[in-house]
Amino acid sequence: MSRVCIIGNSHLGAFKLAVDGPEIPGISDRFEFDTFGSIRASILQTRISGDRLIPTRKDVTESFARTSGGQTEIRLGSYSVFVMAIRNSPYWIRPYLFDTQLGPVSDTMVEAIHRDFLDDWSIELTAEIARTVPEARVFFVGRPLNSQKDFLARRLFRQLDGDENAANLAIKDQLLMRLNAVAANIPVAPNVAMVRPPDHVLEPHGLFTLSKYSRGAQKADTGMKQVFKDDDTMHMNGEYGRDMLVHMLAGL
Amino acid sequence: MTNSPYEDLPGRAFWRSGVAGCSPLDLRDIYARRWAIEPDWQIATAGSCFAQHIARYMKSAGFSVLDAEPKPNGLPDAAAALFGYQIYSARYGNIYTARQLLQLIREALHGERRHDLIWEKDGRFYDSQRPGIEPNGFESPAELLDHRAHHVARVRQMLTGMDMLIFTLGLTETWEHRGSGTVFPTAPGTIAGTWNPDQYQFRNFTFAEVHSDMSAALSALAEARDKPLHVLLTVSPVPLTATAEDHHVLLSSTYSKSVLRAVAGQLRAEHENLDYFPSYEIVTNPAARGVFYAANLRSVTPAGVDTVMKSFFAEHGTDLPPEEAPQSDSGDEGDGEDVVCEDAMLEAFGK
Repeated sequence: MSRVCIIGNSHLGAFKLAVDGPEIPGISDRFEFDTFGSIRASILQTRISGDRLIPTRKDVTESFARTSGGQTEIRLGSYSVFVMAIRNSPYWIRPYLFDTQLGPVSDTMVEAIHRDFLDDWSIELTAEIARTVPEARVFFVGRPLNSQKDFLARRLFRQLDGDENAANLAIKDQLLMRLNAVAANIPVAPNVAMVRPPDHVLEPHGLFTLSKYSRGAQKADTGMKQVFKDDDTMHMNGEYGRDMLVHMLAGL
Repeated sequence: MTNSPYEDLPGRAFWRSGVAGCSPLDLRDIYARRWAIEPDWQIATAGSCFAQHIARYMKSAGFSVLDAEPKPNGLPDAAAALFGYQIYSARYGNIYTARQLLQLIREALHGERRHDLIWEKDGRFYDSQRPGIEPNGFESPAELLDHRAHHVARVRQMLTGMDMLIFTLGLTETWEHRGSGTVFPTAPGTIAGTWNPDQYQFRNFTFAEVHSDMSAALSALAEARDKPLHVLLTVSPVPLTATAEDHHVLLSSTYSKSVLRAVAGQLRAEHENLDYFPSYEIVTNPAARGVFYAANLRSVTPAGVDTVMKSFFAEHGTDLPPEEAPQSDSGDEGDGEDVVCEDAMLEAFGK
């Protein structure tokens, strides 16, 4: 059995629901999972000592224990796979929009925006973990792409749907192509891969998550107590977590 | 009855009291506003490099400076200027000549197509009207045209929506496409494109040409708009980096600035809604003994820009914004090169 460590903030909820839920065919019999969560950016209050990620603040220690079933630090060397479910996804379109509008963005500009994304603390933490356990596979998922019921999604669909929106569709397609290209060549560490949600999880434009995945979402930072029906456009449910795990792990 | 028509004139009318006896840091009465800037006016800025200072100070002081072509949400502020964002009210880069301004206005308001728009370098494609706004050019000519269409639409919004235009006249010298008469902000071959004397020719505009271009630009704006427009003209005090005339650069610089200054004065006399702000005179004032110029004797130092803007703000009921105020203890006046300036690239061709 390969051991998988899932690290996240509130978005850990989707993965925790998945691994704590019914058996995942083709996955549950090959992988064991541990989950570690800490709200927002508080996971920065940790340090790596040897092959251990150790909280340096009490609330993070408590959060690790609460989300992992009692473990207060992460033994990085004991895992062969890591899933990082923190901060932004490299496939999130908002940074490439002009307010809420699509517009032409050159390849050099996409790279400049992406470089800024790479400067984020979540990427630094991911790189640090990847360097500590170079034989492990590290999947950077970031937070889910917001659901198709998000306000931004509804604004964008107006620009994309309809007979007169061919130019915007072309802009969107080119942008997605460029995002995929820069994310595929991301220079974090050789064992780190950026994970784009599979197509079947996304609405037809490939920009937002289908709203069925946000129904029944739970946020890890509220102790998994808060359950959303379908009005949380940012957090996803166990089905999302399950589909993402299959997407990442089935080929290993 | 007085003995002379000069007898009752104010101190500013005399060189000794108005210039020689005054601190160049605090020239009194050099500028009297023609009209007040209303708090709700949307202000657009454009022009040669020096105009970037004016735009920045105006924003810092709380004026409503238009950003009709904002950057993508995720492009860091530090990188924005590299891509031509946040420098002026749209992503047009420096507009050095009156003809260049007229071309842009006609393209935005009349749909006039530009000839020789696409310049190539090392397999990448550059917008010849603003070659500095994409550091590596565009991937394809088609993509360049998409970006240009987006830009021109934003410029149209800006031109019809603004209440006030601040335009800094920079140069009279330019390079012109022989077939179409299109002019460019840089000589072909400087950033991109290929210098070919059969295709391009040097132009040094006369007073009559600059005046005609500016008048045509103002007419085009007036026709396209349904609300009043106020225009503030300045002349850049930054001398020419190089001249293509067959004589000394100092002569060319003096010619260029003289023509622009004279046109600004003429236009002010002709249009009540147009004012002239003397940034040129404040910086070149002999009493300053060149202190407002950096070591290269071209760039205007931060102290020079502060002095210019202090005069402007004093007339418009405000003060230098704190973040722009001079640091008296730093002793570092900088080199004044905190602006994006394509014509400075000509320095590289110097002997």
